[in-house]
Amino acid sequence: MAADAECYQKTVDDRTIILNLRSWYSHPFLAGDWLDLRFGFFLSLTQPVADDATTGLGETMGLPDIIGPHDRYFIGVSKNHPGTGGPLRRPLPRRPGQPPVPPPSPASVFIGFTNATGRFPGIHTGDSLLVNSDAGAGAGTQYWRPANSLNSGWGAAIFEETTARAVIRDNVQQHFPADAGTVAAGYATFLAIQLLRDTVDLKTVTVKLKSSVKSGDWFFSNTPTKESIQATLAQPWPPSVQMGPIAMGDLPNAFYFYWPFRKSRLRIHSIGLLRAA
Amino acid sequence: MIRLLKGVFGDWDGYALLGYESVPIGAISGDIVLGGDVDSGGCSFGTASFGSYQ
Repeated sequence: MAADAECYQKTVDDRTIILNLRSWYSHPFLAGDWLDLRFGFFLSLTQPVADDATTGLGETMGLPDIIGPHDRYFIGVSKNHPGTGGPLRRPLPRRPGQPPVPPPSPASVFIGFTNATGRFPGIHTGDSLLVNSDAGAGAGTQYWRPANSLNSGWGAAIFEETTARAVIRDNVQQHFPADAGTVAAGYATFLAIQLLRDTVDLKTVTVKLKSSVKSGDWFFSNTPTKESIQATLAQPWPPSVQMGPIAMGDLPNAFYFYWPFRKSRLRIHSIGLLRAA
Repeated sequence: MIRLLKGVFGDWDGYALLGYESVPIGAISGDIVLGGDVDSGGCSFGTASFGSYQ
């Protein structure tokens, strides 16, 4: 059986997890009674085989091959279901001439970055793209930017069961350095999510994502360490877009990463959470 | 009651941080305790899971 991921020594100070093609990584956490819970992670991309190469990653996944949630990226937090792969469930086999069958058990919760706007297979909601980009939403060579062909600004959402409870339609685009030599600040992208609620027994949450013009990136770093995550998350939360408040049926309890493309792999350098209140 | 104690003990912050410096180089599959995490204030990581949709 092929491995789902590998561990790779990127630099002396950076040992990273590389997800194999179309593999997922779910990491449950405990955070206690929180009012302000912050998640951060350093991410980057590499080629399907080479562990540290960022050229030629561009890809378009469209009809007739794109059939469901496995063709969208998901980077964020989810409700962990041991043994099922977090919020994504494998759909039943498609019968000849019949539409795809939805997953047998609907997913429960996902909050984070994605180019999905619907999760039922068979409903085409845009091609899944990884494009060469500038630091915004334009063409360029410095970054790789995941996108959706229907709206290049789609970049984050809250899903519950098979329903999109909220979708961010612009200004949270994520960028991954395409050539470390041209991105002076570093090879890894820092992204983060903030969850807020009024009391510890509430499942009504507000989600905030850092937002600037055509970007949800916080910064880029050549030292993507857990210590950097801790120091960053302790700072005042930056100007953001907001989802919610939304009354959820359940709350996330795991980090979740899934990268659908076949010409690139997702690298996770470090992850962390801070209960700020 | 817990909230009332916050003023007495000061800091209720907690964190869980994970690098992968203690993870052996090489292939990873299935459920695995990755280790190397730094935890505080009742926050922590559980057992990681890996899988594939290929």
